[in-house]
Amino acid sequence: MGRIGRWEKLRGCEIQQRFERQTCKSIVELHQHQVRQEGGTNVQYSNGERLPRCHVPQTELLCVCGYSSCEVLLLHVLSSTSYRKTYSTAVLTTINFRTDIPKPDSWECEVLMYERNGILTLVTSASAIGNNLSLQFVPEKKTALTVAVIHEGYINVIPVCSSEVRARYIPCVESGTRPRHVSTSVTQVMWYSVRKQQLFVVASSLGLQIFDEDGRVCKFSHPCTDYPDVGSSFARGLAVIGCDTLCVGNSSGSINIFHVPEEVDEVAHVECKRVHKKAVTDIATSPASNLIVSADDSGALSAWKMEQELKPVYEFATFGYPCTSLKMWKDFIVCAYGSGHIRVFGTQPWSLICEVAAHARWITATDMALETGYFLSVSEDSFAKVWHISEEDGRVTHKFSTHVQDALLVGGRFLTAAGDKFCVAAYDSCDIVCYSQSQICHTQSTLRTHADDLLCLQLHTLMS
Amino acid sequence: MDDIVGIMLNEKFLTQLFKPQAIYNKTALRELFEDLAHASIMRLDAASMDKLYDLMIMAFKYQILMACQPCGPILITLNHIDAIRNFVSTPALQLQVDKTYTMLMQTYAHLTIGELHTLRNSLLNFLQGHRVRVSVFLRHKVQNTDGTFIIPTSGPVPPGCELPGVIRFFDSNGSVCHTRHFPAGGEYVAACEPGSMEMHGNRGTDLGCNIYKVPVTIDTSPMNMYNDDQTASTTASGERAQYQDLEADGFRLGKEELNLLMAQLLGSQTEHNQGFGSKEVIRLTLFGVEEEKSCSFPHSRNPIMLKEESQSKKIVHIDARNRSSSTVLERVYDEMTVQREELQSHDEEEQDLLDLLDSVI
Repeated sequence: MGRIGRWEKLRGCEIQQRFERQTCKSIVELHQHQVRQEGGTNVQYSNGERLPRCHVPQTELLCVCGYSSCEVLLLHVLSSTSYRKTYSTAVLTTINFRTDIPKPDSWECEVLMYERNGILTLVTSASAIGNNLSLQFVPEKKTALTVAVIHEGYINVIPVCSSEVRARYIPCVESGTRPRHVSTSVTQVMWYSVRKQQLFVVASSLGLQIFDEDGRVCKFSHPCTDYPDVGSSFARGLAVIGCDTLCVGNSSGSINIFHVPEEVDEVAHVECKRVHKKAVTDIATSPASNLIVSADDSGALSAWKMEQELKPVYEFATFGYPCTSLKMWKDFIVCAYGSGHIRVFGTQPWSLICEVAAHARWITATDMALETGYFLSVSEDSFAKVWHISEEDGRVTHKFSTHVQDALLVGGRFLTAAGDKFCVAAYDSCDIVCYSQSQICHTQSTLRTHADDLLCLQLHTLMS
Repeated sequence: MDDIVGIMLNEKFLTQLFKPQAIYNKTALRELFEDLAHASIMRLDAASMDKLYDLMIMAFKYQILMACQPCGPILITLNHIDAIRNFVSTPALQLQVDKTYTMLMQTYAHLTIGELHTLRNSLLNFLQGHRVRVSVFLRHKVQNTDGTFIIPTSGPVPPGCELPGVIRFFDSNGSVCHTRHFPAGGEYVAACEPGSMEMHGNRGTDLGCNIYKVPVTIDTSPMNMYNDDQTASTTASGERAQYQDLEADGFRLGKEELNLLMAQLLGSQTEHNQGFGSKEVIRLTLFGVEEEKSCSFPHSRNPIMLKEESQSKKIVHIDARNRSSSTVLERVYDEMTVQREELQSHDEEEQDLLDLLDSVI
C-alpha cells in the first residue's frame, strides 16, 4: 500500500487523498450514529439514513467512516477492481482519535456542502462549447424546468424533474429547409420570458433564431453579420435587457439590438454597434439598471448603457486570456477567464475588486444565484466550484469544490435561484451530473472539521 | 516513407488544405486517409484499415484533449512535422517539409488565444463520439475501459496561468491589500516554459510524438526470460530493451497471448530442431515501426527476405502487419523443417510502386 502524500481537503464529507503514483479518494462521513452496513453499494446508518454514497470510480482505496462519540469506524480499505465485491466484507479496523490535536487554520472552513444526487441523460453528448448548458425556469417558481445542451448543430432539451415535459431534440437549420446533414454550429441558447410567453433563442453560425417555447416553429431569424458576403461568421453572446430588448454579439465584435414586441412575428432589428475588435464571447446585463457588459476573445471588457442607443460607459483592459463567461449581480461584474481566473469588478466606482486563481484550466461556464450571491464556475480541469460573493464589498470566498472524474466540463448552472442545486455538463458525455446541498453538513460543522483533521492523521499513521 | 510524405506534403494538396474552409466531414477524411495509406506499398485489408484509422483518430483525440495551453494544437502539429522531417531522406522532401512549416506558421501563428481555443473546440467536436479503446493508452493509464480519456488533476498549469488556490483583494488604488488561500484540489505545479514555435526547437510537449516510444521496464514474463537466459551473451541489454519496446498493439493482443504465441512457436521449434531453436531470439514486429526507423532492414516488406537475412543472426522476424499472422507462422514452421524456397516476385512489387507514383504525378 502506498504512503499517503498529502490530504488535499481536510474538511467536508469528501476527503481526497493522493498516494504516490495513484490517485485515491476516500469518503469520510461522520455521524452521531453508529454506521451499519447493508451490503451491496449502499451503506445505511442504523437510524435508517443513507450514507451519501459518492462516486468512486478508479479509486485505489475506499474508506467509509462513521463515528459515535469519539470513535471513528474505518469500514473498508479496498482496491478499485474489486470494490463492489469486497464492499460487504467486515469492518477492517476501528480507530480512536484524540481531540487535542489543533487544526490548521490557514484554510477557510467550508460550511456549504453539496452532494451528487442524480444524473440526467441526454440524447447525444455535449459538445465542447463554452456555456453549454441553459435552463428554462418555471415562471414565478424560480426552479428549473428543462435543461438545454448543444450537440454540434442540434439542441438536446430534457426535463429536470417533472415527467409532464417531453424531451426534445431540435436541429438548428434555416427555417423552411430540411437538409440531410446539419452543418450548423450552435454557440449559445437561451430561454427568454417575455410577457407570459417563453421564447427559445438560438445563436449559431446562422445568426440569431427565435423559436417558440417548444423549439418547433422559427418565428424570427437574422444573420447578425457585419459583412454578409464573408463566410464563417457566427453569433455568440445572448442577453436580455429590460423586458423587450435582446442583445446578440457576433464574431466580428458587434452587438446587435433587437426589439421584441408582444407579437413575436414583428421583431425589429434596432441597432448594430461595433464594440469589440475580436469576436464577442459573452454578454451580461444587469436586471436593475440598463447596463450592458460585453467581453471578447482578446479579454477586453466593455460596459454600455442602453438609452435611446448604446452609449459607451467604461472599458476594462485585457489580462491576456479571453474572458469566457460573464455575469452581473448587484453592482458587480463577475468574469471568468481562460486562464482559470475569476475577477470581480465593481461598477461604482469602476475598479477591480478581487481576483481569484480558481482553476488550473480554461473556465468554460459560470452561473450566478441571484438570490444568495452564490457563484458557480466549471472548468476543463474537471472541477466545479461554488463561491460566495459578498453583497457589500464584492469579496469572494470559496465555498465548495468537487471533482467530476474525467470530465472536461463545458457547462454548469444553478437549478434554483437560491443556488442550492446545480448541474454540470461534460464534453463527449451524455450525463448531466446534478448536485444538491446536503442537510447534515450544517450541523456540528466545528466538530466535523475537527474530527476530519484527526481522522486524516489517524489514517495517515494507519496506512503508512 | 518518402512516398507517403511526398504525396502528403504535395504542394497542390497543401494549398488546397490551407484554404479557409469548414472542417472536413468524416467520410472525406476517411477517404483521404485511405488514399494516403495506399500511396505507399503498404497494403491493408478493410479490417486493418479500420483499426489503423481508429488508432489515428484516438491518438489525435488524446493529443487535442490533453493540449491544455492555447497553442497546444500547433505544437502538436510541429511535433508531427519534426517527426516527418526525420523520416525523409531526400533534400527535395526536406524542402517540402520546411515549406509546410512556413504555411502552417503563416496560417496559425498569429491567431489569438481565444481563436486557438475555438479551433481546439471545433477539433474536439469533430472527434466527438469516437470511443475506441487503444491498448497502448490503456496500458499507460491514460484511457478508461469505456474509451474515455483520463483527465489528470496534476501536472503543470498552462503558461500564463497560475496555480489555483489564491484570492487577492484590491484596494481603491488597484494594489493588493489582502490575500487569502483556499484548498484548490488537484496537484498542479507551476507553468513550464511555453513550447518553441521556431522551425527547430523544443516544443515543450510530448503530445504528437511517437506514442509507442515508452520508457522500458524489465519484466519477467516468460518471453523475456528466454532472452535473459539464452541471449545474454549475444544481445546487448540495449537491444533487448528494443524488443520489449516493439510490443505494439494494433491488434490488441494481450501480453499473455503474445507469450502463448511465443511458447507455441518456440515449442515447435525445439521439437524440430532439437535445441537449436532455443537459441533463437524472438523479435516481434507489428507495423514495422522499427524497420522504418532504423532502416537496418531495407527489404522489410518481404518477410521471406527478412528471414533469410536474419537467419545468420539467429533472429526470427514475424511481420504481423498484414494480419495473416497464421500464414506467416506457417511459413516459419515450413522453413524450419523443409527449407522451402518460395520467394515473392520482386518485379511485380516494384511495378506496383511505379504505377502508383505515375498515378500521383
